[in-house]
Amino acid sequence: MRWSNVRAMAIKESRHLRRDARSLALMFLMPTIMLFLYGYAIRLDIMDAPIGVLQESHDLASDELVAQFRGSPAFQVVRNFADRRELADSIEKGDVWAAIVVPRTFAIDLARGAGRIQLILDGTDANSARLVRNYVLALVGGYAQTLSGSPAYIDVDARTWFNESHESRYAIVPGVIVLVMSTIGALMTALTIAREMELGNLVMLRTTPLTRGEFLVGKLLPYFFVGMADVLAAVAASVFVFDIPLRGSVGAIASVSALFLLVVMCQGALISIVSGNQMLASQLVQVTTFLPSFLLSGAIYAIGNMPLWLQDITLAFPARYYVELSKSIFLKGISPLVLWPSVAALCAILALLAAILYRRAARLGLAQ
Amino acid sequence: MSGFLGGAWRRLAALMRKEFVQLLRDPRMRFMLVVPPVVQLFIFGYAATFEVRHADIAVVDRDGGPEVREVIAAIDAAHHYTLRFLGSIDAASALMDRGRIGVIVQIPPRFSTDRRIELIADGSDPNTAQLVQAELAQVIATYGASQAQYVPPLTVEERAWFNPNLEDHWFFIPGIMANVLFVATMMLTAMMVVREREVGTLERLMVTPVGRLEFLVAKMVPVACVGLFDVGLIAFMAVAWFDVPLRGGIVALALASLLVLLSTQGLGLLVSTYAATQQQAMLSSMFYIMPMVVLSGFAFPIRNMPEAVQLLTWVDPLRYYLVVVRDIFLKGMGLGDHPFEFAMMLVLGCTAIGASALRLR
Repeated sequence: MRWSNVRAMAIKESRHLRRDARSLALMFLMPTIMLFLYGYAIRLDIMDAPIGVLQESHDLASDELVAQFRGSPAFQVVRNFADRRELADSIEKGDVWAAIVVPRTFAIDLARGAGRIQLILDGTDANSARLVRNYVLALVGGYAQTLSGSPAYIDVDARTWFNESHESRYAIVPGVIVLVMSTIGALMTALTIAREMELGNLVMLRTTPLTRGEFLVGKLLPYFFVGMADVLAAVAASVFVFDIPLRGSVGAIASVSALFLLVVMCQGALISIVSGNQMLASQLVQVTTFLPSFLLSGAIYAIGNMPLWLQDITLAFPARYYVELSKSIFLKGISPLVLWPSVAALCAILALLAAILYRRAARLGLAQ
Repeated sequence: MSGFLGGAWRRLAALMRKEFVQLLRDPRMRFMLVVPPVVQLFIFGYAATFEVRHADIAVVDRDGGPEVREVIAAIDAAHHYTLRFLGSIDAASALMDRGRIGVIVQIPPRFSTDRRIELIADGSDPNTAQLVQAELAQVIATYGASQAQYVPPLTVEERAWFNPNLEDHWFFIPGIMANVLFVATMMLTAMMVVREREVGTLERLMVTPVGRLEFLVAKMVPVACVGLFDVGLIAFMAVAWFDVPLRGGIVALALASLLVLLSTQGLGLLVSTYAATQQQAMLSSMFYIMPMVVLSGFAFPIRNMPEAVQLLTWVDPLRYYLVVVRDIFLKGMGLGDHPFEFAMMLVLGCTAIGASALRLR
């Protein structure tokens, strides 16, 4: 491999990039917008869940119970229903996520020690329904305890490490970086080679002494730098804008990111060569890179909650290892060396992809 | 006059045929129109769940008394936990660092007098942490109640409407439909138009009698057909494989899909008016798609977003489509139940198409 050839190719490619100011701007704008959206817009926990109350009798006991719900930061009582019809309408329209029914006989039943209330959940959004149910059960359980005056038999002291206040964004933002990288890294590289093939520039390159190795390295080098600049900007934004604690070292996150970026770029280049046209390449990237890094990486949906066969499938996708590493470096502050199996898996995938890429690149017909 | 119109129709038919052929000629492209939606459906259907079906738990018993064993047996009986018994909290925390366990149950010495249990969860996955903590606390409370012969004076009888077992995929599958429809149709529309420009065939078309409108309609119709096909395919798989109930009507579903296609294809056209290359078209499409998908509420409830962001969701056509599709599937609503949502989709769609038509001139 001659360095001068690689350099010439890299210079040509970075000129392409520089002249296409719009694409370049998008490459930096997109990560910013994604971080903003995922960092600010997404909350998986619940605050002020809209609920409605159907209080069939206005006695002291019922009033006190309802006051518990009004006082809780988890709920916001937005409706007082007059009857069941109104309740059903409201849940159907999605105005409230749940309805509490305090029956007419509540006070008498409670005095007998057999108080009973009904909780009706809108099951459409199953996860929100589950969270609302847990909050209601905890609230009613605690209230029952104070009513009966008997303290809990066992004290449960619940704590959360690495994220005391259960901030969703602590867990999501480090995961979003993987989305940024697979979009930028794979998409851009996937389109760039397919474009040369589609426009016929490749034929011209065949007449030069450029070999496929030089072509690939020169082609990918500028994108690698853009990608790294993107990642580092995203890391900086996570720390300074979103207050995500970076407990590990910058060097650790940078080196792990560089490794992952190389993997997605090889993936993109391979897709590019196999597909040979940009439309197909873009669809392939969606399916093989973007989707798995969103769904199968653990960035948003925990891998441990998936069925076992699917958990095994996630092992084949590099995003999973990167999410694990970046979350651990950010929140737990541990060195990638502790998680060496994930680093090793990334290295193995990279070696495999690079080898396939080099073999497949033979079809480009460049000089030997 | 009729001859002129007949000519227009013939041109349109010929052009449309060309687009269909171009879209479906490449076997890999045919593959891409069918397989990704199905794969997405399967992955989403199984992967997108917040429900905790299984958790690895470390138990650090520093008391060792007989009663502790009973508590642990009660936790173990809640069948979906795998317990690992460890000698010290350091060993447990090392495992948590590596992500091998999600929760540590620590029983301090002198449990028999203090009766205190610590539940330590891994906050790098706050959703799982919260759910497992709540569940464990419930199990321990139930055990405690039976020990103390405590009968709570107040109980909750719960029921979930529309989705009695709180299946996550009943919620997500209509979302995938919106997602696939949006991504596929917007990107294809944009790239098909830009490709003609990039490859240079647009100039050749300009010397033919094909008008601007004919050109656009011929581009849009095949893509719309692909979109509707994908919707049908996903609806079929959802019902046949995932047992999602389709309680409402197919007509309402088709009409909603057609209306949202106005927006997605309109945006695709808008992108194509300023993208010079397919690479630009692709990137610009992603630029619209990502925020619109996140803001649509497909996975994260809009009500949980900050006020300012909630305002943004008003101009997101997917938001309305999702409401309609979910209600058609789960709540059995029909055409007349969502006049506002239908109207908003129409308005946003016409705006997108109008804007791109203006820019094309």
